Amino acid sequence: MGMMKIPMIAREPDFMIHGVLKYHAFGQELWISDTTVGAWIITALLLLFGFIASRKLKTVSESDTPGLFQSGLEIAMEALENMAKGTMGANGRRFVNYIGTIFLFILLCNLSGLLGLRAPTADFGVTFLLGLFTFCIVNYQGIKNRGFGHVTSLFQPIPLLFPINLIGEIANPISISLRLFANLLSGVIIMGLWYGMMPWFAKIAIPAALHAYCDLFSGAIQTYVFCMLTMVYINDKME
Amino acid sequence: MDRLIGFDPQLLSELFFTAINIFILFFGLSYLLFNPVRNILEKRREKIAGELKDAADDKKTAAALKAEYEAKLKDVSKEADAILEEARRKGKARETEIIEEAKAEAARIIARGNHEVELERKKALDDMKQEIVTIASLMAGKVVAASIDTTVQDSLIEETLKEMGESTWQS
Repeated sequence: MGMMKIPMIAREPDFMIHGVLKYHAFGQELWISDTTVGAWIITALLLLFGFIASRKLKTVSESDTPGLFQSGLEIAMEALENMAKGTMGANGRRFVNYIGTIFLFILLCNLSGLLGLRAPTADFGVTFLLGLFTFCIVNYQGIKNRGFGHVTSLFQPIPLLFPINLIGEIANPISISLRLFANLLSGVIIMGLWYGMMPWFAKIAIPAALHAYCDLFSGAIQTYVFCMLTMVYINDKME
Repeated sequence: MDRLIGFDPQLLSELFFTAINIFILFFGLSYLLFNPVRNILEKRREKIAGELKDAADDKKTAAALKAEYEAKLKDVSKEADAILEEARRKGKARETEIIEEAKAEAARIIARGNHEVELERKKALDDMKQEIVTIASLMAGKVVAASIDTTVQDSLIEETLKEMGESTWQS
């Protein structure tokens, strides 16, 4: 007896990462995914904004009264500096550029769901890389400030705890990248299920509330959490 | 290719592309956005700090100048008092001098007036004496015209006048 297909829903729920362009490298068949393209778009937008800001700021003289655009940039920069200094103290100044970069990148990635893109941060390939950067910076600072003591600190307070300390160190980048990834993925799945499974009338107005929570609220919170944790981890190794 | 997560070469490929992305973004935004804005803020901070320092210096200078001027003003007041005192003293002296001069002038005028009165009196006496002599001689002449001659008449009159004396006319 053949199976009957009954069209229950408009289309299949879709929250997968899709390949856009296939290429071969190192004997592997690889894809440029839609999240990678999304990340490129966001990078391009941010660089365009930076370019416009740079052009505007070049025409500014010291004695001019700052306009709306310049004031906005200055307020944002001061907020960023205060956030970095509040968590890392005097050390924060050196990391403002990096924290600012990942803050803007993650925030726009998280909010890109509102523009119809699949949030690049709902791809572990993006969040894990951010976690790895944090891990690298943390250990670089640890070695720079403590030298060999950075390695011996893994055997503190007693050598028996070395495995736990090691796992603790390695778990940091995995935990922050998985936290960001899972939060954003949950939003993507919820939105995908809603758009894929709900009848047409449920797609009016109601998704706005879901977007507000999954993209705006959760996205902004997770951006802040990721940046704060990165700063806390780095600061731990600088004291 | 459809996937949610996977630990395979595709993950490495995505890591690679994301790393390039983040590097470009970091250097691009640092150059275009973060450093220029921070420079502007830094310059403004320095400018404000400089202006505050200048203002503090100016205030200090102004206070010193004020103290100096107040001291000078005090001296000026003293000097003015001295000048006024001197002027008053000179005025007083001049007043006394003027009064003295006026008194002397008045005395001179009075003396001259007295002298003139004396002269007038003497002149009037002389005139009166002359008039009386004339009248007396007329009267006597008429009385004794018939009996005595002119020589006798003159000697009689002279004698009479001498008898009366100078003091009688002057009193």
